[in-house]
Amino acid sequence: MALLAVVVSSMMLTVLGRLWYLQVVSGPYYAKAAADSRLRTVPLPAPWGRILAADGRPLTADTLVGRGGLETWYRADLAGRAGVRELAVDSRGTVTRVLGERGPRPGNTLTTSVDPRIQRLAERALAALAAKAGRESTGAVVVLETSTGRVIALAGHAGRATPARHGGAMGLDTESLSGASGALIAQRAPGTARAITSQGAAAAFGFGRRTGIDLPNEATGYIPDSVHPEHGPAAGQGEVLVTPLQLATAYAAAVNGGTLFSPRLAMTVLRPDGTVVRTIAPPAAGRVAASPETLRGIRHALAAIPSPDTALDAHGGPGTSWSACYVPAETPRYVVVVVSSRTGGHAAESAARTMREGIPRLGGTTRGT
Amino acid sequence: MTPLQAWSAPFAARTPMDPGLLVPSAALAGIGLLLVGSATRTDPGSVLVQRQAFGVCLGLALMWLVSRSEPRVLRAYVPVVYLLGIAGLVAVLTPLGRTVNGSQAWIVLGPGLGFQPSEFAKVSTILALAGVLGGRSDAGRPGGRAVLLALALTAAPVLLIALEPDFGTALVFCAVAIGMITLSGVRMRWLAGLAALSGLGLVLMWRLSLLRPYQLRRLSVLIDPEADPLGSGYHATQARIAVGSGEVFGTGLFRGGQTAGHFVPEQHTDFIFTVAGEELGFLGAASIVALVTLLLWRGLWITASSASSYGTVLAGGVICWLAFQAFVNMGMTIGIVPITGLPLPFVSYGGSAIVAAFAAVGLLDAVNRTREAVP
Repeated sequence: MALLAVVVSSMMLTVLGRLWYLQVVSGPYYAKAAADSRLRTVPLPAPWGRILAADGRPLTADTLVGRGGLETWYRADLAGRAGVRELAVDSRGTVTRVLGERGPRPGNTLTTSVDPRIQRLAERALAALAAKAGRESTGAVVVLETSTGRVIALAGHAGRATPARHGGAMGLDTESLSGASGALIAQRAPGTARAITSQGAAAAFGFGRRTGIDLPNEATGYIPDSVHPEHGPAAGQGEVLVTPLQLATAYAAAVNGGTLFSPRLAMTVLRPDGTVVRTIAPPAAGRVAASPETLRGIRHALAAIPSPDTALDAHGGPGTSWSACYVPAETPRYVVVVVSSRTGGHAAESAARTMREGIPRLGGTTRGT
Repeated sequence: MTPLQAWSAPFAARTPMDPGLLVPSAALAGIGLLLVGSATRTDPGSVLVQRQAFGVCLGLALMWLVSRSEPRVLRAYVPVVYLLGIAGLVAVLTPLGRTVNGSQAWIVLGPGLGFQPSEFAKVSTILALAGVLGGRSDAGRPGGRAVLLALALTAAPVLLIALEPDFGTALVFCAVAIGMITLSGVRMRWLAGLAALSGLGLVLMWRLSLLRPYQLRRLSVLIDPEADPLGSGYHATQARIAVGSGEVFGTGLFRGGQTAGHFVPEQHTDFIFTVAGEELGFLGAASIVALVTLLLWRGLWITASSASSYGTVLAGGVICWLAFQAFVNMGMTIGIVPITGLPLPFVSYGGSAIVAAFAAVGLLDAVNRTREAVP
């Protein structure tokens, strides 16, 4: 009888002691083992949103408009939200059950103001330019809508050997630049820009600071420090550096009443069902406080067909050639800026001429303003 | 006196059930319902909780009926009850039996309606052994003839159950027989002979390789569960992870990730204790151990204070059964006993086991009433 009591008590005490060891002493260890063994999280990737041109068709991956840059800039909109599936797995790794699933939310669609026909025209002009200038050259074509600051076309190529001046210092990696980044690289400024700068209006035209376009890796450019006049333009570091985009916004301001836009490629963010999340308009970054004479001078210069004598500047300086024009010349709707590292043979001028003659031939625009 | 009057002895009707028996067993059954519910909560359309509740109700009713019985009247029916138990065990080996988890241990009467004759046989065998070992009067300790008869009465169900095969249940009968023979006060030489016989049997089993390979593996993983983590050690490892991960307070009822993921096989039946371990933590699992201990202590007290040797052996048999089965069941889930298919009394899912366990508590209460009636 007493023996039975002892046996029963010791059995129950053994169980209690073992429970204490497993749950209290080793509890944290087993809690971790449980967490490790039971859950496997499988991400369900969300389909990325599409990026559409102004005609509603997707911008193709090979379009040199900085699609990659847009994907970076609008990542939060385009990426959607990945779903997750939680699986119960046993210690063999065999899935025993689906514990739960949250479906992915597809990314939103981004519509842009890029006119695919003008974009193709710009790419062809640039390709012709690069064919003459060689692989190591850089070049860019920017087409802005003057009244809105929207980017209509943006093409560029950046040669491997070209230093991205005052862009490289900000982490610009020329090796990985997408095509459009050529428009964002600071170059030796053309004569007009230098003239503006010499008049002390550089800041008013937005030189020396980023335009704020919705693309990454934009360079600031450079304006010589007026505090140190001894480092004049003759000194190498006193050179004016502007990006083609900065120049385009400045030229647009010259004909739109003085509004300096921060250019935008994106127009709207749409949900997969087509409803609008938000619309994106190029914000006004400032007003150009230049003299009417200066603006008139720019308008006059750019209204002419680009040629060595009438273009803004046929020799932006050693190693750079620029050309710019309004299209149409009389009632400027677009401003075209071309830059090339090739200096001879009126390289930039011929590209600008291609644009100026080609755009009107495209007929009606695909997008109303 | 009609049999009915004899059954419902005058003293019995007036006294309520002993709370020391009723409260722990009912509490364990209640916890069992919750744990079965938790273990099956991720199975859509599971009706196991409802079935278990039905089993509990049936068990409580049978417990009440048995507790009202006069043990000596009950004794008159023992031969019939025992033979019924044996008949059930024989029937289960015929095509009437249904094989579940490798053991042909069920008789299925219809969809969702089946029972395990071995559970009924536990009660009937205990009654039979008590009848043999308890003696007709207080004429002293049972002789050799009674012991041999008891061994024979035990051997029949043990062999039949071993044929199913269900060695865990067969071991319960052995433990019960050893306990009851010891409690009956037989001479020491009989006990010594019994021990020697048991030892010889174990050696023979080992030498003749009567243990099946899976049983040997279960023994080896007990010593080192990592020896076979994907095979036999899988149950043991998963059970220990589930219990251990509950830590002190548990993850909360119905919130166990291991339980939800069905990592522990047979979790609503033989491994129900792991649900308590994970979701109720050490406090909950220890509470179950405490409830079992309370019930066993009350039963031990009844065993000790029984007026007759019949009552002592009968109550002792019930205690041996419940104690052994509870210890082996809880022990296997926490890695101190080899894995065998034994349910945790009152808690594990299984109508036959629940009803049988409650009937056993009814027997304890009946023995207790006899003590009160015979000062």
